[in-house]
Amino acid sequence: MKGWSELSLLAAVLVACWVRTPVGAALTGAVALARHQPTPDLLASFRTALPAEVERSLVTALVQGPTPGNTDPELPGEGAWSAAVRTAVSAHLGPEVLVQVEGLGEADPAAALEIWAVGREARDRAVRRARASGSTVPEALSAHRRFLGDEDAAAADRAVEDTLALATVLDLAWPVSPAAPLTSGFGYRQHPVLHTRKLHEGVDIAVPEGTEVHAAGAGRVARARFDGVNGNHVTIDHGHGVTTAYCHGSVLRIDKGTSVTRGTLLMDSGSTGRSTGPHLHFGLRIGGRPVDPAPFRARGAAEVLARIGPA
Amino acid sequence: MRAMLAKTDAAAGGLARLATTLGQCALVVLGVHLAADNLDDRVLVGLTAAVELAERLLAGTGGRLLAGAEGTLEGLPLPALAACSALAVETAAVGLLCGAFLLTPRQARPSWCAWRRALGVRAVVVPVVLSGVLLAGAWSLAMSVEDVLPASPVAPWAAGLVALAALLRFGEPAWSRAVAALEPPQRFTEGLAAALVLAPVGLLAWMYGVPLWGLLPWSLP
Repeated sequence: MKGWSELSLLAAVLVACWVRTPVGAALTGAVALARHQPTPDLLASFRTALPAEVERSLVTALVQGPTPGNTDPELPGEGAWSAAVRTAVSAHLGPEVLVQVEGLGEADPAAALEIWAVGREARDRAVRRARASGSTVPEALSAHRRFLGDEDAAAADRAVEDTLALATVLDLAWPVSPAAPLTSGFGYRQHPVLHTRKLHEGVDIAVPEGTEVHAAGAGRVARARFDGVNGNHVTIDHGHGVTTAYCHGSVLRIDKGTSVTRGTLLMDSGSTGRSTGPHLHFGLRIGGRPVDPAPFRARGAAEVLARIGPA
Repeated sequence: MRAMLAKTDAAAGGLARLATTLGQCALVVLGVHLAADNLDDRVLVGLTAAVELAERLLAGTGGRLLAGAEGTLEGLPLPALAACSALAVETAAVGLLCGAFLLTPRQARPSWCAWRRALGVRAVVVPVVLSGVLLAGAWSLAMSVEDVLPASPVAPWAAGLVALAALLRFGEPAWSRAVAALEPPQRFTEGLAAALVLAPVGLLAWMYGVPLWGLLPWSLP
């Protein structure tokens, strides 16, 4: 019977390699590609119809402006089933999924989405494994997701990270008065200083020098400093791969590493760095990719407000 | 029928050596992948800090060199760079560790005296890193076995038995061969370049690939 034990173990190890490393995924790439159901684009998800009450609350916050006095304590952080999270689940994964996910009875939407994506049993196993490896917070997604199989981890990422990124963006406010006009939109343009065609990774908002610029949402200040291009600028990490950037300020009012809520004063606007006049450059990135922030707030708000009327 | 069974049995016996070699390599692949699973995140933290430092040093006119558009740091493809770096480290670690035992005579056995004669960077790094990676590989195997078994209190034990068998059949011989292959170095630092690749993988394997730390009264970050 020599050799059978080695062959059996080899089969088990090869199957494990297939399941737990990208090797299998690479070898079966063609099959996976043929079966691939493209994940709905986040922006496309956002543009699907929002429930009127969500639109109304978003627009109210927008029109009043994110002044410090208007910081909404009801805005969700981690672990809250807010209107934005519900809308994101419904828009990104489907209304029927929202019913299923809420039916799980989990207080934390991230946990509920992960359980919906991979099953409660698989998630519990992953948490148990993270605990065995000494993790202090095995329930935290980053701590236990590595103990899921590669396929499950990818499914969890799609369900949790994409959806909560969308929810995070839905909660962003405009950093200055929405009445301030946009002077340069997102996209390729002739750079006003360099005179070359470059991607403008945000929008320029015309505001007088000294206008207060507020955080668009809760998060942590990733950068707050000066450089030759952006002048005085602040970058906020809102979590789930969402960051916002505020550039060309005259005076910085916050330090790197500070936790902020929506409406926290970040800086006074100005014209520092590579700039031709006083304005605020406002940028938004999802998963490291620059996206146009205008549809998320300013332009959409005016249209929605005209349709549903003041709250 | 009996003749066919005998032939099959003989064929299996003939394949034992090949199966062992493949199994050893696969166990290393599993262990390295589990250890290096979040290596890209850690590389990204290091790269971000390095770029920020460079930007600070080149602040002013020099800062423009790194700044392509608004949002200087975001303009650099750091996540892609980190992912490529982690993949390169993972691939190199698999190659180095598999090479450590594949290039050795199969019957070689390690001894304490031989190891002391070979004492150097390589003699310290290879056994420590390889043992961590093989343990991580066995745990990864146990996890995948547990995942395919029906949920029951017996499943973790069955998975553990398979992992133990893999460690005894594949892991221990591979480790012994690698240690037996160590030769007295020309100088103590011989193998330093390989050690720089293997050390982070080994550290991560021991930190996150061994399901023992949860039993300790303290926990890892």
